[in-house]
Amino acid sequence: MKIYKELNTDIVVIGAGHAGIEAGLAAARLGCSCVVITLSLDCIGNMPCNPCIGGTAKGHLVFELDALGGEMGKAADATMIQCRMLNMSKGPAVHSLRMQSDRAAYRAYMKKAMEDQKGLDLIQDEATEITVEDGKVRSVRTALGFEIFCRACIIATGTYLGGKIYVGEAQKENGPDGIAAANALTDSLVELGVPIRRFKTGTPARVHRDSIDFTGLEVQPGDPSPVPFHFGDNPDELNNTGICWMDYTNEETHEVIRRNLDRSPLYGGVIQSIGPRYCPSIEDKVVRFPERKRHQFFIEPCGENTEEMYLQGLSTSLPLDVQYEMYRTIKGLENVRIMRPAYAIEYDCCDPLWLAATLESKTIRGLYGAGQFCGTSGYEEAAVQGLVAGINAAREVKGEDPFILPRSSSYIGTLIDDLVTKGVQDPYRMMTARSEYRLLLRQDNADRRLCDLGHDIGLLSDDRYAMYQENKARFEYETERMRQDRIKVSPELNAVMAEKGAPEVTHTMTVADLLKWPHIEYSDIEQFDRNAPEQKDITYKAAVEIKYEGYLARLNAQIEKAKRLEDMELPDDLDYSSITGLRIEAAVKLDQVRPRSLGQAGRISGVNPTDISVLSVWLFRNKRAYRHDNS
Amino acid sequence: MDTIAGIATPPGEGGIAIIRISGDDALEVASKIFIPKNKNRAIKNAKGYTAIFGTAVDGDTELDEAVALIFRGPRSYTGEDEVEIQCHGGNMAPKAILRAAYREGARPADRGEYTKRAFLNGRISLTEAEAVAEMISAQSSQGERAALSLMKGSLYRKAEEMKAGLITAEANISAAIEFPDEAPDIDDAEIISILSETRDGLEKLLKNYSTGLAVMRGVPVVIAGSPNVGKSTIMNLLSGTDRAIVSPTAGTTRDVIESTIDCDGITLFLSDTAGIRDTDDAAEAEGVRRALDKVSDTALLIAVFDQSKKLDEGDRKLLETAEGIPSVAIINKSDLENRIETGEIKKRFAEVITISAIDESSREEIVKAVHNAIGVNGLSPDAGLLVSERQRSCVERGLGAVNEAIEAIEYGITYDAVHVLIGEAIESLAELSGENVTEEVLDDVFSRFCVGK
Repeated sequence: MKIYKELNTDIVVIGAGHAGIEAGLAAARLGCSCVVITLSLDCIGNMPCNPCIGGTAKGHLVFELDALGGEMGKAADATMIQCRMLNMSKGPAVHSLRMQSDRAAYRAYMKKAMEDQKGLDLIQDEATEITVEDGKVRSVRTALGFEIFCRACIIATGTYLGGKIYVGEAQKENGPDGIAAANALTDSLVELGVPIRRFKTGTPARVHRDSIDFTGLEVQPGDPSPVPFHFGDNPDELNNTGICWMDYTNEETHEVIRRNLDRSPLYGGVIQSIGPRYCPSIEDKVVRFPERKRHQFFIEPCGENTEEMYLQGLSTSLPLDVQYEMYRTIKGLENVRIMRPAYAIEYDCCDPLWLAATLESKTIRGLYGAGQFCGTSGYEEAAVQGLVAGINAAREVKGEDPFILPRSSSYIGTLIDDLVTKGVQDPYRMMTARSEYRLLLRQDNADRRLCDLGHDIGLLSDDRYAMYQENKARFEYETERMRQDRIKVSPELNAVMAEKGAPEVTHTMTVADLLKWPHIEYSDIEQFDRNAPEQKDITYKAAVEIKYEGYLARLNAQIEKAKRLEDMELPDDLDYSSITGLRIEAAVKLDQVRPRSLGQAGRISGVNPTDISVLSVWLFRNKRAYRHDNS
Repeated sequence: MDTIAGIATPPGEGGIAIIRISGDDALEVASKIFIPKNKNRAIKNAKGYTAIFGTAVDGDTELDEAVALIFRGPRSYTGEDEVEIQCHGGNMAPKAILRAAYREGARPADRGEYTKRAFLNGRISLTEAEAVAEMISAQSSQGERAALSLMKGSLYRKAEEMKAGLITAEANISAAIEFPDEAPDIDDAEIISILSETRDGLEKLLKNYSTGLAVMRGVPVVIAGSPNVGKSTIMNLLSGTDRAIVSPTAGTTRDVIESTIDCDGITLFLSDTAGIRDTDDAAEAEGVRRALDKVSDTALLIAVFDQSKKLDEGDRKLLETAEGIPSVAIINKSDLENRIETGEIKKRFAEVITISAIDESSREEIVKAVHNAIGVNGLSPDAGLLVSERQRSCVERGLGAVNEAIEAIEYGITYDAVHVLIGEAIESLAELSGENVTEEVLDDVFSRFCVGK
């Protein structure tokens, strides 16, 4: 391929989706020069599936990203049309913020954020080749003839790499939303020895609002008091006017699906690649749960200046005629008109075991991966990887230590540890159950967990950091205050207690003591807490910490215990085959994953406790010798 | 590492027993349960390789005179700080001291954990460790092993059953949390019903623990009775050897005679004792005193009576001492005329059999009565038995978590916390059935060791 124009930069990011955006912004904000290549400048930050940010565990990721200085939370706040806090009845650890966004506005916001970023250049082209010299990334070449020399490259290709769309028997080599697929880069990666595999995902149809009869459908409005993702955004300025609807499939719908299953590329065997377990298509649901008479789904607006509606829960890869027939069996959709047909998409991605916890390749220095390319699913999962890859690429360019978040610190740390330690069998979706520390990793304490780090790295501005510190001081003051301030017995108080099913209060108690009663939330006793500050947000956070302190202390003890193994570092260049007593299977797995600590080694499937003990003895005996060799 | 404690000497009789405490807080724990005689000495200040004489205590209760040996890591068997408390042998004192150590913060040592730690700290090699394991395995009897594998199978099934229930509960909660818009809401009553069922199952397992230990480790048994009622004949009948000196002259057995026998799958550590009677002979009187001591301290008593004689003073003494001890009464010499007050014996003993010990076929009857007294016969074959301290500790942890989860739901604690508790319970059950879970470390090689080794 001919090169017409050479450029030089520190870091090249391939792709400007949710991973590429955070990667480029983080790298540039950390002072590196950065070129972001995208197939279409009009599709920066595109949401090819659900027009929404957050949800269970995903909301947690966005709060964590925000505490580290990422962009997604701000963009979601600025373009929100509806906001709901999920799981309110299931406990503070799983409260999860979910925002509907105006997807056109979101794209515009992100494009502008990147355009405005000093040190960041956007180029519309297709990356076709990565060149490597002496085991290190050298340049990225494009279809139109750029060669961009760089010191690090982040691959964030999403579903565009080798993308192929299926609508029933119809197929098209294409990415989502009419953008062409990137077909050349895979060959270059294969040549470089990157382990490439094929995953698939899917999306429902977008339909015209006018073609839906909303009569009798259950309305789902936003929460009465919306909450922003970004610390510092004013809740009163959030646009929470969007309305969604709930609707259900019926037996007739299921009958149409069953009758046409052989025409589905998945069930017909045309698509062999693996889809996300936790995001089933409607035909999956009908096949897997034959006893269910109906399945719920949501009708969601794609934005304020469009009539496109998204049918959340009705993703399918059945042919067009079946899509019409099936959708039209549903109440309210009898005359529905499809604007963008539902489809399944296959794409190339890597086996994340090829990556280290920095998201850098273990075989090619300076080459990073982020987002769906690493085997995940979801905008939020992609964004946090982009941030971590961007930070690490910048730190490598600047000669600084790698940035790795432990599992106990965050869902971000948990996600990346899972990817690079266990690998993935299907597109990985974040869930609260994936964290053994989930009671500690809450949305409400994301800032206390990560703002110090965000500031140390250099992504959190001084202003923002000062705000955090002030809030932290207020939090500590409030916690202490609630342990001191007393509430007197009164008939009003006991009326509340009785109403909540709590025992009668017979003597003066501190606010903290009252909070420890089952069923009693801070909102129940707020009226009696006379010294509480006007602004209650921090008070609520402190109340959570007090109410759950028993559980939290236990988890902290577990973290301490686990830390011993996490702190026992394994050398990068350890020759596992030379360790006597280690089983061959374990040595092979260890060599593939190359864990950085004994703790991580213990989480690798195929490595058993005996192997860990052998390793630990090896470490103990060779610590001295090893240090000596390396000094 | 955290601090563990266990009894290092074999169960049953022995002049001295050793309680071994190892870990970061070993000195701390030991100093709370051991008061040096010399007030100027303290375990915490003691150098390694020193011995201190004193009293083992549990709070304010004095347990036994004892000697504490202090080892400071890395110069100890495990490579950690270690204290060995040597006390008198038998069942009572060592167990009481061990309980006191648990109360002060030590946790029960898993099977082979001392060796595991020695290995982890580089004190011994893997091959050495395996050699220790082989040696220990070689000592256990075939009968034990057979019984063990049988019981293990049903225990595994029980654990799996309970785990499956808990996983259903966990999955329901997970689905509701992860997919709040799609999955059905959590049904408190359903979750509590699953948890209660698991709780009952775990409680039953714990209740059977002593029987499990009997199957696994054997039962100390004392044979006692007046002189010449046929104790030694019965012992020989059970063990199939002429171990005890048998002669028609009363008072032949003056000392405690021990023998390990296989009683159809259960190992019995049999002690024959001197005949119990009033005597002026100083040596014989000492024998009688020891015999009665042993009776009051045994796990199972076989009391032997002579059918042809009325109950005498020695017999009555035995009846009194036997009060509250698991026991079998054998009325021997059924071939002779019946003069004994059988009613009085039946009042005191649940298991009473009448036999003639010179008839070899009566062995079967004795074995059956012994099994009944230990509780083995009452067990259904699929009950599932816990046979090690490690398993018991798993069940206790699981039960604790299940109880806490039930309480949490009833108290209105939210499901994020309940979910974590159920997760803990599942983990303990996975460990119980021997699956490789995150928390389970190094059990593979080391589970073959005894607790104390």
